[in-house]
Formats: sequence, structure tokens, C-alpha cells
Amino acid sequence: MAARPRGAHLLLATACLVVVFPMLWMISTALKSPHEIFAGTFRLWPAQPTARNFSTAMTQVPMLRLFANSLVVALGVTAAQALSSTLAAYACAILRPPGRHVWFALFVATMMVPFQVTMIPNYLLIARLDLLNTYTGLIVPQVVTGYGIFMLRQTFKNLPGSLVEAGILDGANSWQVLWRIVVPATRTALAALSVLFFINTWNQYLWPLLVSTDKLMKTLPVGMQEFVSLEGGTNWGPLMAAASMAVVPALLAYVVAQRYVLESFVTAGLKE
Amino acid sequence: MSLAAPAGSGSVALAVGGARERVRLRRRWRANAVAYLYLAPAAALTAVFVYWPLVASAALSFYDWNLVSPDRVAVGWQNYRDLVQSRAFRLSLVNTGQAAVALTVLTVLAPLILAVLVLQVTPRWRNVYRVVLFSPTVISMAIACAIWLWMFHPLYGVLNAALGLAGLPAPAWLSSSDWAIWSIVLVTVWKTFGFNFVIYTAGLLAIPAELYQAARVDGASDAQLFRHITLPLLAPTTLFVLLTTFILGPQNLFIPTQILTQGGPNEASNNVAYLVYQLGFEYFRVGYASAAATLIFLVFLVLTAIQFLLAERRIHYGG
Repeated sequence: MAARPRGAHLLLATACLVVVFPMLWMISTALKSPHEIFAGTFRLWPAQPTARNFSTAMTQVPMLRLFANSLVVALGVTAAQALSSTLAAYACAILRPPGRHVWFALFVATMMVPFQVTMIPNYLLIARLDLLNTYTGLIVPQVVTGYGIFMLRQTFKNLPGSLVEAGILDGANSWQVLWRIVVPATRTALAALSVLFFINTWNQYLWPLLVSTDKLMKTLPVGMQEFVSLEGGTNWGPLMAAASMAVVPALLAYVVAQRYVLESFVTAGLKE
Repeated sequence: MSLAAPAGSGSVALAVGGARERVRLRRRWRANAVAYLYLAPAAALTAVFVYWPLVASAALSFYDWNLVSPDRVAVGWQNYRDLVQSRAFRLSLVNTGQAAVALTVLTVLAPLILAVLVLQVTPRWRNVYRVVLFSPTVISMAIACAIWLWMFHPLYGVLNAALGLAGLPAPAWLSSSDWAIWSIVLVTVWKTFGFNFVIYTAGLLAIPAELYQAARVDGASDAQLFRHITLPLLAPTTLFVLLTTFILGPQNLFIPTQILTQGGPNEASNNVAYLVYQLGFEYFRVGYASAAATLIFLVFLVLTAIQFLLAERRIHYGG
């Protein structure tokens, strides 16, 4: 198409401003004094920036502990999802036993099951096993991801067959072929997928909301809601300060790996 | 490695072949057993945490149970009868339908327009815009909701201040029964449009530039290029985007509803994603909530099946 970059830039820059504004407003509010927050002046850059909301947030809620909880759960789920998806996708794409199509369909179909439909029995199961308020209870029910298996099967299928055959001729067994040939050859895709898993788990809300009732076992997105409608109204300054801190890891993971993240979203969309 | 047997030794060859065949079969059987070991972890966990709960949920729906009492009272179809007659369930279905349609329209149109725009700038700028426009997709929906809750604030919210500045009326957003569900839709669009935007950008980049050049030489206008090249070649992408948005949209409503409105005021913003949680974990009516979950799943299944059938046809057409 003929480039009319100036008009496009104008519209895109406006869209970017609108899209980014809520996040700027979050940081702006976090840096304002309580007086300025309720002054009705609506300045984007605070008149007297202060870090007080950050220290209040840290003392009112065990922020560091919430941070650690989120990290343990996100890393645990990411590692477990990457491993379970790799093994299952390897079986479906390369070992190819009879009946694999049925299992693959069953894995992929889990993407169509809304979480709300399974959450009550899962909650009851975790409660009966006495796993409420534990990392195990937070992690184990989400170890399998149909999306991960779907994506990795696609990736493994695109490997040249000669690569695997060479390994078999060298006398490697299936376990060695997986870890010495298949995984190293697809590590970029695996890494991108893992970043997605991490961001998703870091951000998740509903399952931790059900499983973690103990103040010290909550994850960040859940624990942060303590600031909302406390006695005497929501504590906006500390809430925005906590929010500003909580978005950092996901945004960081995204910025560092953005090319791969965007690409793997795209392949998910286009391979169909 | 099959060797041709010399003439006259047919029976010997057969016997040797039979033994070989047995060894081969045993090997293959072993290989398949090993392959199933790789499938086993995912298969077991999927069975326990997805497929068994589907059955358990259906079973629970025939009981009256408050989550803690040792007694579960079997009530037959009573939960379903109550549910179908309840105002909350009917409102939830209507709201979910409206929200799903609005979400689908908005998160397909806006990303498409933005993707067309982003293709007209140099690759370096394109990447900058892509990173910025995708950023809300990366942050937590729960955090996004906290931010919007503050922006929606009736007195000190920046949204109404901006509207006032522009001379526009300030709606009561979350506390208005007309606006509550649309406030939730607004937050959801902001948080999720980036996904479709990135997919559309990739879809547009995949259209060969020669097509446009050739059409230009023939004197086609911009509008004609868009209608006769861009839209038809984007059809498979659009289909994917429509399907995923319509399927995931209703699920995305849970967090904004729970944080922003709790389904209120007076159920005005309730929807199926929130209703199950509300019935089960706010009102502790587990059987009733399970009935809702089961019904919703069935509705969802039918809708998904219809979409796939339609998709099948369109994909062949769209090529």
C-alpha cells in the first residue's frame, strides 16, 4: 500500500497514549500524597512526588511474601507445564503410538472447558486433600496445558525427520533423543512458550483466590485487593503503589522476550 | 533390510520371517508402551483436573449442599428448575450474550484498524507501536481492574474529570445498572485487544506486496485494495480471531466482575462467568452452582460446535 506515514503515525500515537494512559495514571497516583489524590486537580506529574505510598503498601500488606508466593507459583507452574507439554508433545509428534490422536484431541479440548465449570470439584478435591493454602494446591491442578501441548506438537512436527533418525542410528534411546536432539533443536520455541506460561501464571487470579485464604499464602494479584474497600474506603495511593510493583516482573519478562513472545502468539494464531 | 529369498527355500524363509515378525512386533509393542509413559503425566492430570471435575460437577448438581455440612440432600432436578426460573440466571445469560457480542465486535474491529495503520510505517516504528499496544495484554487482569476501579471513581476518577472537561455527561459507571456491564466490557477490551492486534499484524504482513503493486498498476483505489485484496486474504485470520474472542470473551469477564461490581447493582452486571463463583463461593450453594456450571458448559459446547461447523465451511471458502 502507498505509505501515508504521517496520518498513520498520528493515529497510532494517539492510540498508544490512550492505551498506556491507565498505566501512567497508576504510577502517577502511586507517587501522589493522599491530599493530592483527593484534591481534584488531576495532574499527571504529581506536584510533590512522594514514595510514601510504596512504604505504606509494604507495611500494610506482606508485599515481599506475596511477591515470593507469586514467584514460587509462577516458576513452579511454568516448569511443570513446560515439562508435561514437552513429554506429551514428544509422544504425539515423534514417538507416535497408536491412539495418540485421541489423547491429543482430549488435551486440546481442555482449552474449550471454561475454568468456572471445573473449579468447584477441583476446589473440593484440593480441600479434601488438605492442600488449601499450600504451594502444591496452587500449582498441581494447572500442570497440564492443552495450549502448550498443541504448540509444542506443532514445533516438534516441523523438525526434520533426519535429525531424529540420525539419533536412533547412533543407538540413542527415546529419552536421549528427546533431551539431546529434540529439546536443544527447539529451545527458542520452548523458551518463548515458557515466558508465556510465566506471564499467565503470574497474572492469574481466580484459582489463587479460591485456594489461598491465608494472608501469608496469597499471590500478588489476590493479596493486593486487600487495599480495595478497607474500612473507611479504598486506600488508593498504596493500592496503586502495590499495583505498580506487581506489574514489573510480567512487563520485564515481556520486554526482554517481546520478540519471541509476540512471535509465539502469532504462530498460535496462524497455524490455526 | 528385507532380503529376497532364493528360489526353492520358500518354507525356510517363511519360518525365519515369522520369527523376525514376532521380534518386530514385540519391539513395536515395547516402543508404544514407552511412548505411553511420556503421555502418562499429562493424561493422568488432565483426567483428574479437567475430565473428572466435569462429571463430578454434573453429579453435584443434583444435590443441595452448603460446602461444609456433612449432609448432602439429593434434590433431583430441583436445582435446574430453580435456576431456569431465577432472575439472576436469566440476566446472566442475557448480559453474557450482549457482552460477548460487544467484545467480539470491538476486539476485532479496533485491532484490524490498528494493524492496517501499523503496516504503513517503517518496520522499526511498527515494532515500537506493537510493543506499546500489546502491553496491557501482559499485565494482570486483577491489577488492570484495580487501576480502572480508581479511574471510574465517581468523585475523584480521572475518567469523569476528562469527560467533564470535554463537556460530556459523566455516567455513574459501576453503580449504574445501565453502565455497569459496559464498564466491564470496556476494561476487558482494553486488557485483551492486543492479542488480536498482533495476530492481525502478522496476517497482514503475510499478504504478498506484489498483489497490491499489480492492483495499483491497474488503477485500483485504496478502498478497492482493502475490499478486494486485504479483506478476502485476511478471512482465515479473521475467522480465528472471531472464534477465539467469542470463546474466551465470556471467561474474561470474571475478574472485572468480581473486582469492579460483584455482579451488581442488583445483578445488572452479572454474567455466567461470575454467577457460578457467586453461587458457590459467596452463597455456598454448591449444588445450585454446579447446576449452573453444567448448564453453562452445555450451552458453551453447543455454541462452540456450531462455530466449528461454520468455520469448517468458511475456511474452505476463504482458502
